[in-house]
Amino acid sequence: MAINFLHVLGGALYLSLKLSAIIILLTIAYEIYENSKLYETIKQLAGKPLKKIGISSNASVTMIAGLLLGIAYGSAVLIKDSMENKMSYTDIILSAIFLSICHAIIEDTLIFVAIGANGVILFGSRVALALTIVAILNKILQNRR
Amino acid sequence: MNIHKILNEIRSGFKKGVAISLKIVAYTFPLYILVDILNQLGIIAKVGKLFSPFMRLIGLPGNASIVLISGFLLNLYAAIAAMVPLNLTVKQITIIGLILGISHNLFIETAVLSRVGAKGYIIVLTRLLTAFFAGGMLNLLWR
Repeated sequence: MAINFLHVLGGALYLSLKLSAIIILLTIAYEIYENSKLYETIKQLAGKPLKKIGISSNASVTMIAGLLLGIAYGSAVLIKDSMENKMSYTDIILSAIFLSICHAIIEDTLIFVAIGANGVILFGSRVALALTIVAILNKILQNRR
Repeated sequence: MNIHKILNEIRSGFKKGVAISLKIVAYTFPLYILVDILNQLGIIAKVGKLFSPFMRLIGLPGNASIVLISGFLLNLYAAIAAMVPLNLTVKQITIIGLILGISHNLFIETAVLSRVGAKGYIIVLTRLLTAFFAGGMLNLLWR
């Protein structure tokens, strides 16, 4: 069977350019966002629902970082916070589980949308599932205490 | 608001973006070529046949097992590079996106997360179970 190498190379190049364009736009948007007032506002807004499922406002800073930026950055903050004893053990475990299910949601959703996925479903189900699972785990951990 | 500050932010964001893109393209590019060639040679179809009974439960063709494995072990960009040559439907891409969004890059991310004191096997298990549960549900609910 003959393989059309030109076609293969073209496809690889097209995908690489598409991914690069998304990544560059995201880093620019994040750079602007990080230096704006919006950053503080969102941090406070997101703190409330997270508190309901058992994650304290100290942890919510970490959560937002991880949610938007991805696990590498989010867990860097998580490690720093836990070393400074800012968070309780439950906070740490719940944050770790939440983040492991639901991080970098903007980036992850966008790259899948770029190749044709339904972004609303991807975004909504991940957030909903992470909140549900952490809420359940929080109940279990509370009963044990 | 000053224009100078924004321009500086755009410039520094662009530089970071290019640096990150280069790292990512360094493996999406060769992986896409590899998977496309394996696919055209019919090798992916053979591997897919092995997994197809299991994959059918979550609404995916056997072929897509290679995409899930790339995502679990490597990362989303690798999975996307492996997925594009397979010509999947919107529903299938969304199911894969959901499963892999929840559960990807397991080696590295679990290593990082377990440094804060969370047990590694619990994180991996929670993620995989959540991912397949979500994928299965989406397959059932999407008509």
